[in-house]
Amino acid sequence: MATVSFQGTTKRFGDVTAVDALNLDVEDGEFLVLLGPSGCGKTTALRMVAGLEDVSEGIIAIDGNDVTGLEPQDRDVAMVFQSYALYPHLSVARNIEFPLRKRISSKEERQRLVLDVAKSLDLDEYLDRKPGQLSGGQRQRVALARAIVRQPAAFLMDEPLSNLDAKLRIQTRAEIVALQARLGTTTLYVTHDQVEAMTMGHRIAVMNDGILQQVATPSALYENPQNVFVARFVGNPGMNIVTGVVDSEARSIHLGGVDASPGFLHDDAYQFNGPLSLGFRPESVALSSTGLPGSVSLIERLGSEVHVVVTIETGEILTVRQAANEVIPSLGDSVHLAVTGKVLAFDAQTGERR
Amino acid sequence: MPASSAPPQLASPAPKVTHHLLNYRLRLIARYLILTLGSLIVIIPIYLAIVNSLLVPSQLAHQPPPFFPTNPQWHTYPDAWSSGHLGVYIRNSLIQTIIIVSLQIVTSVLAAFAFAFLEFPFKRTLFVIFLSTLMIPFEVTVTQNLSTISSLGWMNTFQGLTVPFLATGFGVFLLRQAFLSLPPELREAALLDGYGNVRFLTRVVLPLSRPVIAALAVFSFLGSWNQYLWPLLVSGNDNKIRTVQIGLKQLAATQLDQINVSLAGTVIAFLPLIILLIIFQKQLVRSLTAGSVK
Repeated sequence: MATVSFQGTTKRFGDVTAVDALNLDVEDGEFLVLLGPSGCGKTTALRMVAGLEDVSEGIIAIDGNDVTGLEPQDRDVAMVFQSYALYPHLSVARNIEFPLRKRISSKEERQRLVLDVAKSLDLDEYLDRKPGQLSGGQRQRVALARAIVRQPAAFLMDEPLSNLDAKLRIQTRAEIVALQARLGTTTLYVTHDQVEAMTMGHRIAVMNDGILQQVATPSALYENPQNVFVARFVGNPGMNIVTGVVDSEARSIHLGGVDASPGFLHDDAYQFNGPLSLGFRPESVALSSTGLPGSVSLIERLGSEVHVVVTIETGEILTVRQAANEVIPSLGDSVHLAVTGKVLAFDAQTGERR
Repeated sequence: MPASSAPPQLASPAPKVTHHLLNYRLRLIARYLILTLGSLIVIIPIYLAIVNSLLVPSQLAHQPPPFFPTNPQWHTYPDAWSSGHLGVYIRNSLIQTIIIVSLQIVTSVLAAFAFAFLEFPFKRTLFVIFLSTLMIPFEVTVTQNLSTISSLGWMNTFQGLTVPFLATGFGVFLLRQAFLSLPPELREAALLDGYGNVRFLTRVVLPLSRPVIAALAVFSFLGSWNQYLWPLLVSGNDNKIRTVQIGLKQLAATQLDQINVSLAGTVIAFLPLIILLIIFQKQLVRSLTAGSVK
């Protein structure tokens, strides 16, 4: 068990900076999720911890020791790949045993460890099969078993669920969380799926364009995003953002030159002055008789809830989360929106939280 | 299906289906005809060699010679074996071929591994130079090779016979492509599991590349077994390293009136190739079609 830390860690590919001066500490035993859109540098950051990518600047430390120059096998980390990377010519048992062969000389000891791990992941029936004879979920468990069996200082997981179908993904998600809780091994988990990040991580580090945007617990990230990117990226659907001019003394909000203050009922909206981006969650806004006028451009029915997408007069698109048993407007209807819940203010230029 | 009860609108697609089926059958027939023709072109000369080796020389003078042996002369085989010293020549050919095949595989595997997995300066340039050797016919280099071998004092030795062929651009190319088709995550997983280059090569790359290596072995075996010019140049006047192809030429020259005997020698000489092909057929086809079918 160990801590993992990035200290000013930078990775450049030619002129492109994939990871820009990353400072991040993963606590001992923590499940930290690196979240971001594709190309944001999260996988590169993970691969630098594994030693699969060189570090251009800064250092990577595991348990306080600088490992930046060490070979992958000397870092005591295990990785689970998106493609599983199982050895197709070896049986499940041999795949799990593979990392032990150089570490433990006693064959009996190795076999005992393999059997223990296989049992804990319900793989003991499949030990003699080849990876090609397993389902996606079983292959995923073999990859996990191969990572667990050597009891590494840290697990590195690179989108391990993305090749599974939706149902299996939810099930495996819970299994990985339970496994990590049981083993207590520091885990760095990369995903672009914010639901996965929210449900699995103790903390989430959101990245964009190689830059760390925010590190926080899932609820803090949801409630208090530090910038517009995080606000929009976290949550499904993401936060609604409108840009306008606020006058706190006059208690007015102008969107596109038109007074929109009847649409903002919460005091939060009037805390700051000047041009601002105002953010509110889809559950903080409701259809109303007065407020921001707009027309319904899309309706998504998800069973228990309905997302009503409204295009307001400024052309900005807002989502309203409604319960399925509420009155649902029809496509093209003219409606009014009232922001009833918390409103966050972001700098209109930089997108940073005020 | 009772035709009377079928609704009229369902009746019209039927001729279309038949048409498709007919088309499919015609294509199948055409395909098999072409394949049969191709096989005949390959098999007939071999068959004729076997049949003619069993005829008496006078029958061979008939035009056309008989297609079935009426009175097979089995003695031509022991005759060819003893008068052509085929035992010695086949042994020499086997030694030459085994040395060339095994060392070509070793050098190709190592070079291909370097080109596929390692980073070093001028990697691309070096690879292009390797590839360009494929375009140089052996005949162009033969005099230079001969003078090198001669200056090393390797004339009439197995070193002289084999050393110029121990590395092959073709083998490096074939294996490099096969190695590159392995998922890069396998190497990364192996690195994290504590396996360096050598163990990754022996434990992962080689087992997964067996079909391609077998294909290379077959190509290399064929090339080496059928060599004529180079063994002729480096072998002296005795039988010490003379190979079976030279032996056959000699047999034909000394048995001018006994074509059946020299044909028997030919049949004996290609038997090892046939056996090899039968053993490796599956892997050869698999590696040649690799990538074409998912």
